[in-house]
Amino acid sequence: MSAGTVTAPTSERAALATLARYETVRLARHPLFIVGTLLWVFVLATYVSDAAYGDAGYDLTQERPNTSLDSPVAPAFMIGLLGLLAMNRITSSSGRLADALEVAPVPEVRRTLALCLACLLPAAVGLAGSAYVFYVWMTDPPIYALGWNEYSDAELAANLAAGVLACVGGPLLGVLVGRWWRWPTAAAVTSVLLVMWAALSMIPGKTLPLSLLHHSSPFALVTGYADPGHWHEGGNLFLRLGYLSGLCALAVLGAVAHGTEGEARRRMARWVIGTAVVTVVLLLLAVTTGPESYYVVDPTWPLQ
Amino acid sequence: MNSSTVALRGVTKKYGRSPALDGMDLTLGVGITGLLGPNGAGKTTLLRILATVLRPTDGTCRVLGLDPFQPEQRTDIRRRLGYLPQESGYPRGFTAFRYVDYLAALKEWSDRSARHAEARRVLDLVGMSDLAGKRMRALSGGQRRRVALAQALIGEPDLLVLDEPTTGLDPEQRVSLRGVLSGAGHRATVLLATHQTEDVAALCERVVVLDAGRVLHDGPVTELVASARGRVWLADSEDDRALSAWRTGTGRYRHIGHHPPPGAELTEPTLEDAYLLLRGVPRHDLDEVRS
Repeated sequence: MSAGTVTAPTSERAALATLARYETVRLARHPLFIVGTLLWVFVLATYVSDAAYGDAGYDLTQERPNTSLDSPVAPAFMIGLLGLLAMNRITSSSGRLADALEVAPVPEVRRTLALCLACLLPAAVGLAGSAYVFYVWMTDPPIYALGWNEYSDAELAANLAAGVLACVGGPLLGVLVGRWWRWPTAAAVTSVLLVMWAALSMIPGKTLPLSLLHHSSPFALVTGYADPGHWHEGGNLFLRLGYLSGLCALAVLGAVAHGTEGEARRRMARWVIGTAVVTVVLLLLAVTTGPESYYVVDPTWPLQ
Repeated sequence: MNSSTVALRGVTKKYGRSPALDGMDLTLGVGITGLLGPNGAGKTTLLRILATVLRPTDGTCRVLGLDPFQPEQRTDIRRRLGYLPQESGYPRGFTAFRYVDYLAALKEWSDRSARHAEARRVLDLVGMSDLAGKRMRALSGGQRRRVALAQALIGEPDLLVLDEPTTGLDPEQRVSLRGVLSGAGHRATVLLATHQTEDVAALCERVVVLDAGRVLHDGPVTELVASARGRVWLADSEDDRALSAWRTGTGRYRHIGHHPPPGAELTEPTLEDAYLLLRGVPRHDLDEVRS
């Protein structure tokens, strides 16, 4: 026991909770996260309902603004991508404490877990926004909605949930990169690569390989324009959620693995490999099960 | 628990092929020990080993009666350790209070009110409570150093490892910090690495002098100072035979060496004189040593 008159210490779980709260507050105050959240609120306030589109000057029977359910890409971009940069900066800035951090009794694994728990904040923001989008869709369905009417309510919810997972996945990727790659532009380079990866979702899944590419994107659009109509992506949206959850889990495990050594690291490597296998299987199942993709030719396409 | 807080036996640390520490034996107990030595002598390496940051290449090491290379024991050591590294970075946007509070959280202070009270206590100890709300980047170097020292004092650690704590401090701040450290030295083991021999003379009962990774001297400060008695003179002119000599503010020359200059009078040695004599520093290296 300490001979000191001042005592602190408490349980490891309490220490983790304290650190997680601390990191959450740091993220909540981070300018990039604040900007991302404000942009998301702006989108929700402006482009969710037909009334809002009408206010924006669209002719709702002739013109086809994106529907609110295309929005997984919106929180993914605003909260996921900016959250990646914010969490990466938070992770890296903690590293500036160097030796003072190194000798803290809270080990790196728990510090990393605290950072990962802080990523629940962007998840909560994404969830709240997506729940609002779903509520508007159910209570005030849009006049024109690409192929969304073909989906069940549960599938629509699963599509929005994919956006929520993107909100947590981006910041988790920021932690992962912050732990393993310390060079200053690592987060920027990762962001560019992530956007390129996400662009795969623009590829309609006409064949199995193309469908794999499409669904492997961390935030995929499952309907889209395909002059003179639109395409409607097949696959199983629920299993796709499993695939996205697997990506998030891989980010957590990869980040945590940085603070391990010896047998703990070998055990972590086995977990990473196992999770990666499950994630790939879930992607394959997401692509090969569920409805097939199809195209709708729309004779009213205004640009013809 | 053994009465010694730190026990090193034959500790060697190599970076590549060059040894930073070379078979070092060292035992420390409660009280303040000063660690002197030129740049590159191995002071920071020694401190980092004691702070459980570095693992020696060879030798055995016990800290607070525990093995720093066993993960669980290392964590126990860290719970009872206060460490001021030579250089500290600061997360962007942190105020002095948040910096200390954050490090308190990392030291497992989970109760918010107790943690805040502790952060305020240590900031007050180092005289920074008035500037607690100021951002770290807006503080001067000396103020940041005091905040960094405050984090080392969190929880009144049993072992305090301080790497140049008084760097950048003005004389009043240094004197004030001496009060803090001497208080800690009554109940804890304090190892203080510094280039400021005045701080060692004012604070430490014991001094360890390192050179090229080896212990050159280990004993009471008074003993080291006494070893220089009869070898420090004041003279009106400079003598080439002196090991070290410089013109003082009075216009007279202070000579350290083994041969008295003509017409010189003996004077009381300081710890700095004794240190220079011990190291036998050639005159052309004196400037570096004194810096």
